[in-house]
Amino acid sequence: MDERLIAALEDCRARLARGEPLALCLAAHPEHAAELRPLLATLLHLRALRHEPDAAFAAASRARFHSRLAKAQAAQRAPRAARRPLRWLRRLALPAAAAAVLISSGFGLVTASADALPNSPLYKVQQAHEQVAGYLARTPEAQTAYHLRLANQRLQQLKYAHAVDAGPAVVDELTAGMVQQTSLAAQSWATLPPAQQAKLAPKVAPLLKQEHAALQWEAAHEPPRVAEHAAQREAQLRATAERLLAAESSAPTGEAATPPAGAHATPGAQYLQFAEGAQHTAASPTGGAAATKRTAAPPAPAATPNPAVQPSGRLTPAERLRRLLVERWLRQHAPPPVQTPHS
Amino acid sequence: MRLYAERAHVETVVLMPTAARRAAAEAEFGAVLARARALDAAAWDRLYQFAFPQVYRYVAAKVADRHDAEDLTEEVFAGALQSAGSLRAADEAAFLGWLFQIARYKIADRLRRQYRKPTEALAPTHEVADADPTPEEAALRADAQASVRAAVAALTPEQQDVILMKYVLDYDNAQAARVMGKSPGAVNQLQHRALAQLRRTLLKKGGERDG
Repeated sequence: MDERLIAALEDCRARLARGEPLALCLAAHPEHAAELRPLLATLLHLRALRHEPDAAFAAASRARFHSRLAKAQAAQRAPRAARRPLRWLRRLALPAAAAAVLISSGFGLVTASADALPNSPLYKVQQAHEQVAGYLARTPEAQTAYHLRLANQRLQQLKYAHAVDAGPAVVDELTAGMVQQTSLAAQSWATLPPAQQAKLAPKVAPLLKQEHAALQWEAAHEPPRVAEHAAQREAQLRATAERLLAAESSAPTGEAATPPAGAHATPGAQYLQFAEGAQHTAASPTGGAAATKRTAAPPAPAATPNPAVQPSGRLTPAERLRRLLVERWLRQHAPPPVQTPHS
Repeated sequence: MRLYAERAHVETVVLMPTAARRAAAEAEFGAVLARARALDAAAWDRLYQFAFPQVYRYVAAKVADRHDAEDLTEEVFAGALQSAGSLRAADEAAFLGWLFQIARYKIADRLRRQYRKPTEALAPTHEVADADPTPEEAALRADAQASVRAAVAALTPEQQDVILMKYVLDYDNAQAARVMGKSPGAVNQLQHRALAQLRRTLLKKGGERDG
């Protein structure tokens, strides 16, 4: 329908509303008369739907409306507790229902999610469970233990992710989580009294070493983007160790600060010594991590069997295939060689 | 002194430019709506008087029975009171749009209940016995109403709204567009399609009746 016809229709509608006859409306728009006639007939039909409210009903309805309004105002003014008796009981209903569901099904889910990787839907459950545990760890000692436990868990997950070749995104996320939890653990650890620091120290130093090894392996074997991240995180780990060392050296001396007999050098110092050693070895022309890049199996703690290496010391077929693919990927994505003028 | 005050009133209100007067009226209506959110009685009385006839006409055009239309109109305002806290409208058009939305929900609810528990209607239409001199004429008129209502009910919800707002509530295009939250062009399109569809349906029904 074009604009002119709509305008003509509107005009006719106004004329009919004023009481003019249909013929007069059509005569005013001769060019549209043929189209207007059926449309106006339809409009006249529609007038059958017009109904005005009965005056008595309107008055009674208004009175009832005001009565409702007065009740609503009274309810609004009433104290909250009076408006909803046993409100506290209702408030408890939802947590109680949630607890019931959790008890009946949740624990199984949490247990099942313990080994989940970030690419699994259960990983969210695992994170939620960890958040609850973090909320419950209130003292600095409990918080340190909590972050150490999470850092350890991320490390184990990372090893598993390396073993099953879970993909760079998964590895990257787990590595980030591991280093972050270690940093948080170091922060909490630094606030502890010396006796408690000494108590937790045996757990911190090996963790730092294992993380260092995992990061070095990643830097050597993962695709460039993840490898670059791993190198950055190695620097973060070193910074964490230096913070630990600073906290150790600033700790007050006394009986509490004295480490237990036969214990150790402090974790920060241990790690830095270890990292320096690894660096020296790597820099030496005869061996080390850099020399064995792309060929050596990932360094792993003696207690944890490396899933990529067979008991005989040889790489598993799956690991050999994986490394072959990584090599191919690296070759494909390597930057083009620089062209010299004489070449 | 009184003369001076009257002259000042004329200057400020009557001689005010149309756009400014409209803006002042809108601001005033917005203030009424704000007070209505807090269940202010005077504000609700004003809103009720403003909207009641329009809501009744809207509902009565959709339901066949007058008593149903009256009940539903009351239910619409009762529902509006209950939801006063969530009233977000800032002008007349938005307020009416909100009430029509409640009305649509109430009508659908009523129809659903009637479908589940059908009852025989004693007075099937809005019969205006006084205006119809003979029972035959009343019956013919009721039949015509039923046909038109059925034809309107066969339209899409938006087309129904356009038709009711323009030809039952007598809104112009701009008013209908504001209440529906659409552009005037979109309302024109809807109106055109709705009228064409109505015409086809009514012609078909007429043909069936005559044939």
